[in-house]
Amino acid sequence: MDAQSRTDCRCHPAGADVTTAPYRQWPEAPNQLEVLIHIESLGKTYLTVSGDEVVALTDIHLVVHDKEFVSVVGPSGCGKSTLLKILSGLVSPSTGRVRLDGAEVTGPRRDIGMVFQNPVLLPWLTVLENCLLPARVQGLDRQASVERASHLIALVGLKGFEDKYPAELSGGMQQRNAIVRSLVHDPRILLMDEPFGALDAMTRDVMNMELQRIWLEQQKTVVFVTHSIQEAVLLSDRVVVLSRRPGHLLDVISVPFGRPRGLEVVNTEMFGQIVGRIRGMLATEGVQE
Amino acid sequence: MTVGNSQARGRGRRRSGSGASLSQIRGDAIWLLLSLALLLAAWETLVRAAHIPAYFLPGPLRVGVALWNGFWAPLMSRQGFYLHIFYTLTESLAGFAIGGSLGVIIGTILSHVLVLRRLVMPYVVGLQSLPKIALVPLFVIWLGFGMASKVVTVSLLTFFPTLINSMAGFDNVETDRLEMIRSVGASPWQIFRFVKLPSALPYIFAGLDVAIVFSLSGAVVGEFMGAETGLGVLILQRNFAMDMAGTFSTFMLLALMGIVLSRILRMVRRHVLFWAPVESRVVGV
Repeated sequence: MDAQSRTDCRCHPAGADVTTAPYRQWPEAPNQLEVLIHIESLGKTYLTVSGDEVVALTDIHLVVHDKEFVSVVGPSGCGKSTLLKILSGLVSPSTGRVRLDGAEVTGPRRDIGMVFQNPVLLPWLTVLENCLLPARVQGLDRQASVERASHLIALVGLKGFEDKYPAELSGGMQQRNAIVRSLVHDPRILLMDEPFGALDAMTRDVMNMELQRIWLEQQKTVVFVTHSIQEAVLLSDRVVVLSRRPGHLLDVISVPFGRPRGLEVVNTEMFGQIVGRIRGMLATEGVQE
Repeated sequence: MTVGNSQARGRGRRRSGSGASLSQIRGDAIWLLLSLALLLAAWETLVRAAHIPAYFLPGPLRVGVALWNGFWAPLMSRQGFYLHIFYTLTESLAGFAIGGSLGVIIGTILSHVLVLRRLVMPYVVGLQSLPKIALVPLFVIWLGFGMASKVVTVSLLTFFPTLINSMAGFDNVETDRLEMIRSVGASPWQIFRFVKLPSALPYIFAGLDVAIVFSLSGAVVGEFMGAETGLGVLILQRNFAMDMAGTFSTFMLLALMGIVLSRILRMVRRHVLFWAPVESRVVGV
């Protein structure tokens, strides 16, 4: 298995074959084959303070379909977060490009919502005002935004906390608040950078199930960065596996489970196989370097 | 968890209005009065037991009488406090307002315009290392014995702590917050208004806290150098007249004014920065 995936990676230097490989759909899936995000031979090289070049990402080819849930896993420092920041327009790529619905991403866009590892709530604003921040920035209609925020707040289970301040919330609740904020301006794409990494295992399970529920209800395209292989397999339609630095694409793995998935999926044999395959891929990569 | 607690307290105070904040002040006042009573008792005992002459070190009772006389005097009397308080307070507050606003405004500009910062910072550091009191005689020559020279002195003294702390505030805005606001497409002005300015406020207030104390010192020192009215003048006159009780009563009055001014500032801070638990302070003198 390990040797197999390693050869896979060698066979697809450009990664094009991997990403356009037949995409396995689950039975009740909506029409998801419309491509929303094109990532073309993307690379990022950082210049350190001492003047050294650090290659964070090289030669990433990937397409993400409309309303698809794609996770990105890889060892720490492999450029997962960099990839997400390039998608969001916060960081510009060194080589290649990202096209979103045909248009090249050149800077932050209004149709993207982002959730960070930390909630990054503004402590001087109430929960509701924190949720409304993107709407205020983008000059959206206040009344409509409040209605939408209230709906989302109820959806994530924060009802009754609208007038609290972030410091009065637990870590899990703060992250829910951040999720509402990322959705309030009704973006097409949700980018999540290890959003549950700071939470304890139990809260994380709950949040994973909630995220699936929110995703099914809100019909967003999600790119989800995580270092937990289980989390990636549990949530995703496809899992993108990145190598260690300089991060390049090792494989893209389809997850065939239907929706909605319960936590019990974790105990199935197939789940174990998929997780094992990804783990093997990353382990081989580790020995190789 | 102390952080969360104090934040919650701050908010509670804000919601329930001035009632809770008054009781807080009352609690502080009781402790202040207690420690003051102990100090005065020890002082009076020492003066009486050691037979220290009044022109050398007056006991608190004599100082108390001098205080009483100062407050009992007619409003416009030069022997009473009121006229002098008016001058010193006006100089302090005007200088604080000018120096404080300039500190915040210029600090904001220097934090955002790197070229300007590179050009100006050497002079800022140079001026900051200079004891600014040394310039006061010059101001008196340039601006005369009136209020203007004192206002400029106070402005100069209050400008630097506010400037340095404002710059520190803008330099230390969390990158997470900046990325968050940028990711939704905020303009530079929106980034400033929604994230940078509020994030810098705890530092700015720390600077103002230092500045408010400096403002009284600046006014008094300015008056020492040459003035007709003001608490600094009163101190000098009474000193020359060997009226030590009178001099001490003026010290007390100044201390009281300093306490009241910084209390007011802290009340404003508590109201504005109810969300910021700890006072972040970079003392720039």
